[in-house]
Amino acid sequence: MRAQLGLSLMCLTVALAVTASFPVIAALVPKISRMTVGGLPVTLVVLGFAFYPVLLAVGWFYTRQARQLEARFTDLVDPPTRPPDV
Amino acid sequence: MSDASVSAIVFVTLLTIMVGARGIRVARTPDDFMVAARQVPPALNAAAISGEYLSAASFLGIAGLVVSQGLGSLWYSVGYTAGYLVLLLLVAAPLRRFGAYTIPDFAHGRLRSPGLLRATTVLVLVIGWFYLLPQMKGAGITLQWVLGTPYWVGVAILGVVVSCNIAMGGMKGITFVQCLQYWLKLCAIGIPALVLLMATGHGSTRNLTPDRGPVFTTATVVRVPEATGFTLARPARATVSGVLDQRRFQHQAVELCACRYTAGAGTQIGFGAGAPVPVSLAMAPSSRESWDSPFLATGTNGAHPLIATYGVIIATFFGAIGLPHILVRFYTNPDGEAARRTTLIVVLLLSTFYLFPAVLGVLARLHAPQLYLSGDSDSIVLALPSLLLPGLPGELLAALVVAGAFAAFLSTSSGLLVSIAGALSHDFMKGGVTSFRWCALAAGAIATGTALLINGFSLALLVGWAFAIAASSFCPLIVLGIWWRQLTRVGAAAGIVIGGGGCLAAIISTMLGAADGGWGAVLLGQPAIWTVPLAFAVMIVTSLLTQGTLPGNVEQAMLRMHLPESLSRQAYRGVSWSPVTERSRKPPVG
Repeated sequence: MRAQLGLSLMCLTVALAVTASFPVIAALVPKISRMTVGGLPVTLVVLGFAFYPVLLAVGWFYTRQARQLEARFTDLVDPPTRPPDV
Repeated sequence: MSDASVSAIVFVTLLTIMVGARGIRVARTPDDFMVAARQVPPALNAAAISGEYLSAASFLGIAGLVVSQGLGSLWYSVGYTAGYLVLLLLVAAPLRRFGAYTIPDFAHGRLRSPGLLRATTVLVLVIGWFYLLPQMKGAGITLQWVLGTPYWVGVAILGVVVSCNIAMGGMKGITFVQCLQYWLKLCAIGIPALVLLMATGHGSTRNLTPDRGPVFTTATVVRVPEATGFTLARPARATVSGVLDQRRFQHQAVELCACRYTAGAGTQIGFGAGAPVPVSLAMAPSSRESWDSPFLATGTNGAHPLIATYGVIIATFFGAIGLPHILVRFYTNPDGEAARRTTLIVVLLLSTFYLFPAVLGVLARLHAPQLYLSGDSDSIVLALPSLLLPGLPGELLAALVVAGAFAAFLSTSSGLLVSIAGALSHDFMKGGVTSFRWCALAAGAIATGTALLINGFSLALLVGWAFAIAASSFCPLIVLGIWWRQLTRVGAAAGIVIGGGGCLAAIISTMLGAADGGWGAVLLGQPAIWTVPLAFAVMIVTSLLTQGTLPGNVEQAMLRMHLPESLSRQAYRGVSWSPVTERSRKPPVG
């Protein structure tokens, strides 16, 4: 459980650090929100498209790690030859 | 408006009723009604969850806000998606393993307190109704736009269809309906967005450039449907027919200055290409920030945009955990691992969907800025296709959008009604299928009544408020309940009452217009910024002070939530564990 919580908190920190830091950065460096990427305002690119792959990647990483943690834990507690049903 | 749109509404409604009616034959026990007997595979379940989640706010509200308030409104769509990531990281698997039907069941099973059970049930009703109202509003304005019927007709139709459908089919029925409706919604927003993008996309990006009011890209005649005040950013020449500032014009050229005008109902004003777009006073951006600023100003009159943005981020990121109609779907997963996989697929499906409201909002800003004069930002998505693509193709696309919008109202309000009626009948009326049916009808009727009063608020704002209440009450309860042994019932109750109550009070005072600007408007209009940390703090401090009231079953409950199924099946074989009434656990499979 401790390991699971650690994993969750780590992933949460990464996701929050990427997304929630954007307003602060934009507030501190107003020039950023004036930039354009290929003719589109940077706000549109970041909020409209760029954040979703980040969220997905974090989610995918977490699901994989959590499954491995559980499989390892199951093997540790319950070594019989039965394959871990994951 | 068009026959195509009307048939689209009829089609979606009939589809919902018919697929829901299939459930009558299957739904026999309360278990069937409540959680579809826990046999739903991840991909189907994920589509059902997304179908239920994507509400009127996502379908109509976000694009409308993007046009009127600026790109910062996209924080809503990012937040609605990220909410599921947070849910995946913190609660998905343990909550499924705990094996309770609803949030009140979870609170009671984990903390063993009838008082807490009642408090959480009341909160389920509050959040549920808060979320149900914008769906009803959406139906009202959509029918208003399509058929020209008064606002209340759409509200009443949605209320009747949904309550009857739930009362008949329960949840077994709507799992399939919800799944279908996700794909319907995706097509209904994706196809118009892509078609319109291809039809118009090679134009200029002039209206996207910073620090400039929008301009007409081609000569456009704007028709003012009802008497409207508007402002112009720069002087412009226009041809006016009708009433302008109490003077009557007959197709006359007028030099308009950069000031405020009032146009009478039915007035037509022709602008040349490059002329500034008039901005309706009702829709004027509430913030002085430029349109492309990454900050959000809805509901706070533009005060302290950075704080307001964080208010929305906190509310939406942490609110999804506490939504009553979403959590109940996680119990339909066969096990904790499947719950995780389901949630990940949900994040994928939501990310895909939310690409399109942004596209539609930007297209409207680019090519149909006259929608600024339409007054209600929520109907922009409905009006866009026929404006950009005149003739039959535009009409068909409009029908598709209307179908998707109706799917959104139907699916979200169905899910909400299931949880409201479930909470009412399960916790207040001692359960049973008949009482569930009556509760569904009663809850539907009450929501329909109240929805008639909230026409003035934006959809995304209303839904954002439901998220804020959930984030400052249920989110701390569930997160701490899962991960923190020392949570006591007194602490949980105190956190829920102070966090949820504070949030609700702030929102109601905003609805009544308590604060106009400055800090008051931010802290009351986007209360999650202070209520969520407050709720967590109160819960933790009070729990530490009342360690004497720790429930006796903590260790057992913790094991139950965190042991992988392969182990817990062994550990609990022969032991009767019952956090609540658990009648249909899957037989162990090895």
